[in-house]
Amino acid sequence: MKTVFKWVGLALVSVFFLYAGGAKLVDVASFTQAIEQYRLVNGYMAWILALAIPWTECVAAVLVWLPRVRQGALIVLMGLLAIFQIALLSALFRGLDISCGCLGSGVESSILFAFTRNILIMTVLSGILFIQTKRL
Amino acid sequence: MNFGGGSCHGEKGDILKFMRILSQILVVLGLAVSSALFQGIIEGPPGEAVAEDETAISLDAALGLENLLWVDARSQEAYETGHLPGAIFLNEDNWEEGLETLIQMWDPAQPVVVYCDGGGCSSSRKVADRLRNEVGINPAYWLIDGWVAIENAGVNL
Repeated sequence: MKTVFKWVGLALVSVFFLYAGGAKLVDVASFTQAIEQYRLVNGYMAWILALAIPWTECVAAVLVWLPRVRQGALIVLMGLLAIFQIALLSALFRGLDISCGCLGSGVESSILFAFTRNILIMTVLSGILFIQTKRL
Repeated sequence: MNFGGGSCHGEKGDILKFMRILSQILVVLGLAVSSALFQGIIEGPPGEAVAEDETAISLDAALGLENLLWVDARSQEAYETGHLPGAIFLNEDNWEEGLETLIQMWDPAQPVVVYCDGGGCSSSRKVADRLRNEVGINPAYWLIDGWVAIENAGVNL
């Protein structure tokens, strides 16, 4: 059961982050603007994040399949999600009416939906990390 | 005989585990940063992309257009709180209804400029794209920095 959960969870997480990262890398300018909408950073800092975040998503999504770096990759994804959640909460509290920008410019999703979805993904990641840790 | 060295081995094991995980994290981040750097060097900053986008327009340039028709692509709540004089409320949520109003108000000679919240958010660009591609309204621009630019400029509401 744990094995099934682990591999299914890895597949889901990997596909999700590969898609999310790839969609943003195709249109970095739009993602830069999406980041600026959060009004936390702008200009060059937003651009740097618009490049770094999706590449981190894609690289980690691939490396979760390599046992030697799996745990690190999972922790990086967890860290990314934690940062996203903080940014989403910040936007929610400030009443910003913006799209999450999480899946590129082609997909509009509300902040609340993205926040809820990320909690589910974090739960899956936590489960996989727990199983990984127990095996060490 | 046990000289109490078990705890040292445990601590050493923990440190090794921590260092192993840290090195894994650094590998992931190192690869990601390298890739991002590579793409950034090749593509350059997005400001250049916006400058090359012929459908984007700055507020100064928009205010210089004659007989301009504004389109507000923000939320209904934001529109009702305040909008530019004569701006038509049209976004992807009220597309049919808003478009009907726009068509009634629009003169074929009028340029249209769409704005949304700010930072050139995707709503204004999408609405402008749809107006050009689906409705045949040309020119239809999206306003760079949207409502943020309007507020900063103190344009009369």
